[in-house]
Amino acid sequence: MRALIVSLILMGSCCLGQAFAEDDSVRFSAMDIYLTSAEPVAAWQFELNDHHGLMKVVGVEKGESAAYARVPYYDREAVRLGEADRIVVADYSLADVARLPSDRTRIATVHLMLSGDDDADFNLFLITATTYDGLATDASISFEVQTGSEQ
Amino acid sequence: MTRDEQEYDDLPQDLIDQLKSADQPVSMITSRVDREISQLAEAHFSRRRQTVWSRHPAWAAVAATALLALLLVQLRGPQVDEHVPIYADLDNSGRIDIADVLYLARTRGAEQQQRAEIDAFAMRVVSLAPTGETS
Repeated sequence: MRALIVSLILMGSCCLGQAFAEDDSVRFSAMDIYLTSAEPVAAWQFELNDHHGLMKVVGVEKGESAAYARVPYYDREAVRLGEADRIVVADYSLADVARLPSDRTRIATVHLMLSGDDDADFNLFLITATTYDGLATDASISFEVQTGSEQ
Repeated sequence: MTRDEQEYDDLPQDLIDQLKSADQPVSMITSRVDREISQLAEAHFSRRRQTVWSRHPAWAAVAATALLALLLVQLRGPQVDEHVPIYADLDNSGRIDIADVLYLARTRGAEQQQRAEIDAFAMRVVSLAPTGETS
């Protein structure tokens, strides 16, 4: 299933890449999103945007935890229409507390199309992270562009 | 013409005669007669009470079964208050987010219809539309 999703994203990226082939200011990037929490997390939600308005989200992949087996929730219609200059991503799990992820976990990968010559100024913030008991937990969120740079 | 005759003036004569003949002093009812009438009445109505269910045992069984089934459905069915909006701050955190979706998923279970409601709520949470509606 993941392979299918990745293939679809890559195909979409290729199509978009061909459409902008003559515009060398358009590039694509994948951003891994990491949640770090001392307690097991039963639900999380974050928002990603770009202060410079250079990004468009072209796809979202699920993370690495088996407790979150499906692709997380996001506004698929806005992504499909090419209108996602920001994205809110969220998911929850009904798994037992022993199966919920803790520590540093990749919860999603966001695929981006970036336009313009300037560097994007990403703004990633955690809206909520909830423990198994339904209480907010003091977690942090970070991203890592797949080229290796981390902020 | 007397006052009584004035009252009878519009009635047929044979009816007037019958009414006059019936206008006799009330015969004395002794306590024994009163007691016997009371006993006859009690016996009559107690027989009626016994025969309502004993005459129709099949219908009584059907009614009892239907009542039992209704009670079971009420007791075992989903305990959902339909008047409470589900797209709301269910965990009283002060905002509507995925934690409310988690709360709803845990209270409503994993039935297909409930899952659709939960997914719709989650899609509303992540919607980029200004009103919070899914685009």
